[in-house]
Amino acid sequence: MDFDIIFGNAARAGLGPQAAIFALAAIGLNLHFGYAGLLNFGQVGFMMLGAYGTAIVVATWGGSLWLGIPFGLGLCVAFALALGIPTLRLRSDYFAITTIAAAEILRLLIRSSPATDITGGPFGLQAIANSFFDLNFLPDGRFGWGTFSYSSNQLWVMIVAWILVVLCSALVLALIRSPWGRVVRAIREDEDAVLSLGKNTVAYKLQALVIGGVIGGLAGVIDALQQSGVGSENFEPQVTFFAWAALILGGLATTVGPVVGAVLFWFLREGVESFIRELSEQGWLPNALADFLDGAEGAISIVLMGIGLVALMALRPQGIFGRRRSLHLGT
Amino acid sequence: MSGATTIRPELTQAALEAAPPGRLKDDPILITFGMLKTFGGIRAVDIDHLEIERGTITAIIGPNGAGKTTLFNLLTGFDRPDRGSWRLDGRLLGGLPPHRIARLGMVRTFQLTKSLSRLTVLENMAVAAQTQRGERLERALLRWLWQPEEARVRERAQALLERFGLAHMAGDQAGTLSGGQRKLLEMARALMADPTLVMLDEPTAGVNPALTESLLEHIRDLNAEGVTIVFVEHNMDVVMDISDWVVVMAQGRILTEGPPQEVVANEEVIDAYLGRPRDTADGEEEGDA
Amino acid sequence: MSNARSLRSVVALVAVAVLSLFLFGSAQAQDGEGEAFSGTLRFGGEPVEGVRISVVGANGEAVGEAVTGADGRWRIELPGPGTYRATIDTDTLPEGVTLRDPERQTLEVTVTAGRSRPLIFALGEPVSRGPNVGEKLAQAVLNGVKFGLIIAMCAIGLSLIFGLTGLINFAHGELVTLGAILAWYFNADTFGAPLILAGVLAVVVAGAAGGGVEFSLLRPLRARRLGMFQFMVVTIGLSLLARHVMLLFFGPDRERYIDYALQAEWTFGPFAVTPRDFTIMALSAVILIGVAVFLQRARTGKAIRAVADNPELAESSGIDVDRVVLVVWVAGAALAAVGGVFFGSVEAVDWLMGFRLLLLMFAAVVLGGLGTAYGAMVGGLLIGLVTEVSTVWASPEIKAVFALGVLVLALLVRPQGILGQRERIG
Ligand SMILES: Nc1ncnc2c1ncn2[C@@H]1O[C@H](COP(=O)(O)OP(=O)(O)O)[C@@H](O)[C@H]1O
Ligand SMILES: [Mg+2]
Repeated sequence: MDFDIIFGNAARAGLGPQAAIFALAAIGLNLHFGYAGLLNFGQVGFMMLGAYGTAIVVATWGGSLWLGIPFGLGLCVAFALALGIPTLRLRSDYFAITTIAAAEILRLLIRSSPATDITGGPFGLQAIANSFFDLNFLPDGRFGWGTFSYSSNQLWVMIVAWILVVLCSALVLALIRSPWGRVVRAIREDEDAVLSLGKNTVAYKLQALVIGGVIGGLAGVIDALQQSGVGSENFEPQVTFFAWAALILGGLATTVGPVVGAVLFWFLREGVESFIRELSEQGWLPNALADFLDGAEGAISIVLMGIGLVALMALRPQGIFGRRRSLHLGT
Repeated sequence: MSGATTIRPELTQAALEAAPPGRLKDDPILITFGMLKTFGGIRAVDIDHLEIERGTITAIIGPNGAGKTTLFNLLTGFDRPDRGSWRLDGRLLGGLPPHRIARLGMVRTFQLTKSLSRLTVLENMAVAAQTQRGERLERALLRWLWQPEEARVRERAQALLERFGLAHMAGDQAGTLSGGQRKLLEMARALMADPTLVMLDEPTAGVNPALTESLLEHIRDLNAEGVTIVFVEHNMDVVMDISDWVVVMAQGRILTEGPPQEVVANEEVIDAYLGRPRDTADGEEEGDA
Repeated sequence: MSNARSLRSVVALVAVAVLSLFLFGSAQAQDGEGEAFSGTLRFGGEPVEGVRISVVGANGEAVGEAVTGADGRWRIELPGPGTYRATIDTDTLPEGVTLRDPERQTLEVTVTAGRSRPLIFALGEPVSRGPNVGEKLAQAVLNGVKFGLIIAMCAIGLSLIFGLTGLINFAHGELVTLGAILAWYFNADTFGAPLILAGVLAVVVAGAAGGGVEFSLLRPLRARRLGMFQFMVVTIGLSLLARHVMLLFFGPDRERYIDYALQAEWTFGPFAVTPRDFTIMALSAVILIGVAVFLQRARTGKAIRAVADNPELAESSGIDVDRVVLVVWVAGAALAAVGGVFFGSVEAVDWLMGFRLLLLMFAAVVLGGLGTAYGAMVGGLLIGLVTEVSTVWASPEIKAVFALGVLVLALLVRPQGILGQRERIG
């Protein structure tokens, strides 16, 4: 058993582009739920629109990437409005259900054959990020040690992505500390009370939904850049659940929570998968078990994640770093 | 404007004779016509006419399920009536959303206290201040645009907390307050919104006698400053003590209205609300105090 | 305190259960086995042997070939993820057997890493040149009723559990899958039991599983006053767990039950229906009526409605809320499993079927009004009808979009859902 390999893999995932993408998605969710109390279970829909919007401008319409990114984020704004206007007046559980349904249905629409001419349907779109990688000033080659290493382009994506993570965290922090943020947090506590004080709560919720959604869209843009393409299978509803898992791991309604959570999430997930791969490769296990594990590490790590979420809520409902006291007020 | 009872004595005299609901007031701040709200068959509110006199303290009494809370919900825009219209200071309010009604000066509290638990007491207050520049998203990041105003808001909030005896808890999360303190906070918060008409739904429910006393004191002070007050109350001592006018509701309708002494003497009221043997009820209240 | 202890033992139990599944389970085909195309050729329900299928890559290079076996199955391994073209050699088809749609002799399909993609070359009478819109509409309405009844049945538990406990059960779809997959194990895999028996067994097991989750996990957590959000996360965890355990054992492929796979249709005027589908519709209707009668007449049924209407009031009037919730979990899970078996018979069984259906169930319960059984029924039927009828004019791939459209429209007009009640304010 080579723990260098396992640890290297885990660390690579924990700091890599995927972790930054999830950190962005979770920062958006944190604004939605942690601060505004909006149960958005369709964050992946925003990621998908950010990614596809960018890719469609570049690959389908032959436009510039620098037009594609704002277009993708614009789609996120439109989605937030279309989703929010009919549902934000309703009870929060209706909103939760509608968001998850809307995101998945949007995905089905994107991958359907009538949409193939624009979205590439089941094939997705490719080769969209050339002008992004043209800006890469890093030398070629690999950076790092052992399995903990990145290619030049990966490192370039990471630098940009983590800078965005810092900027978005700062943006959310500044917003939350403003009187605007105070109203938003008040709505989280009790919307009727805030309405009775003369605030147009639906407008605030809509604004929070748009901003968190655009941050989620940014996550999608980075995803499209790092793969230099988009495919609808990357935007299944699970992605939202994983982003939620990361947010809960790190802690709700804190500035660093989503970031720490995303790093931890990918570190653990890749660590477990790598560990299982090592186990079956080392031949220490009975054959039947090794056969069973072989190639199944993805599913097993998700099974463990499920157990982890249930156990976490049962044993530490406030999250790993959360304070017990603040949980029992409200919710 | 003085806070003393401004209901015309001759009106009261007339009331003593007929005591019909829906009596006209001298200077009504709120007028309601033909208000009906049904919940699947139940007529939760069915009021032909109701006026609230400006600058007075009006108590609404009635048994549970009488429709008091529903009436508050309708007047403040939290629920839509099946039909009916109402005016605040002459302005029709039908169809306006609750926040617009609040901005026009009619601010309510809730029967089940709604404190903003994970905000501090001071933040609870600050959120109620009207038309803050920093509450607009486009200015939220431009700190220098709202910083001075924010300082003024906090100062005012602190002063109000001082007055309500909550200043020492300004930095605590509101969820850590006791039930009575939360009622106080909710009232202070309503004031922070600069209302002309305050609607308090059972402000003294579940509050201990000492705090109740100070709550009533605040209601009187407020009224003395010219704010019109409508409140729902079950404790007849309280009603007799501070209200200028009493509206009695039962089964969605207004049974009668009039000055407190008149209303407690009304047979119908005793039947519907106070319970037949009036002495027992009084005895209990005394035992409490 | 005893709650905390029982909770811990539950968590331990779950962990042990999962581990023992790994140890004793027989490994089925798995995610990540390598990319491949596979399929089964059937004509009139019978497997077709000796047909050649070939695959070429994106640049036309030959990748592989296969000839169907006695069971009609074929499989071609692919060198890696990518887009391929699979062609069926019509010359090798037996006398009198043709492709149903001659244009689908070659299929272009993209395979992602580690996935085995099933391909379908449908054999049979060429589709008669387009039935007219009226006939299509009649058929779509019939299908809509069929799927609507199934969705309604699956969604009753979801809606009632919400009404009783305020919980949105994200794992409800997995109960559907569980029913379908268990029935497949009993029917097609190991035991070879007749589908009806297999279905009954599966429903019993799924009902017990639902009751077990409520009794040993959710009830102790409710006693600790966990928030709505924490409960949602618990059910999300359960759903990820259950779904992927099923993936591990059942594998990523679609399977069919052995009985009633293909039947000749009965026609009634513009409607054509196979005896199987007819039976399923009739059974579904009978079950739904049974549920309604139970809720209306039986003591427990009345208690369920009372608790859903106002839990505090019901509790204070002496109803044992915990027992009622347990009954609803068992019955709701069993109904979901019935829905799963029916859906598996009408379409096919796969590990994601319940999760896909969950979205339609969500739409149905919100449309009908969260928390009521009748709302779930009305909403389910409507969603089924709308999605199927839309296929008359729109591509079937996007039929779910219409479900969302109806949902959003309905919420704009009637925010509490068709049969839902407004929340109280103040
Ligand atoms: N949202 C609602 N749905 C159904 N019935 C309601 C609703 N709100 C109030 N009611 C009914 O309306 C009547 C009046 O209730 P309410 O206004 O709360 O009375 P009060 O505040 O005087 O105790 C009661 O019969 C109550 O059950
Ligand atoms: Mg009331």
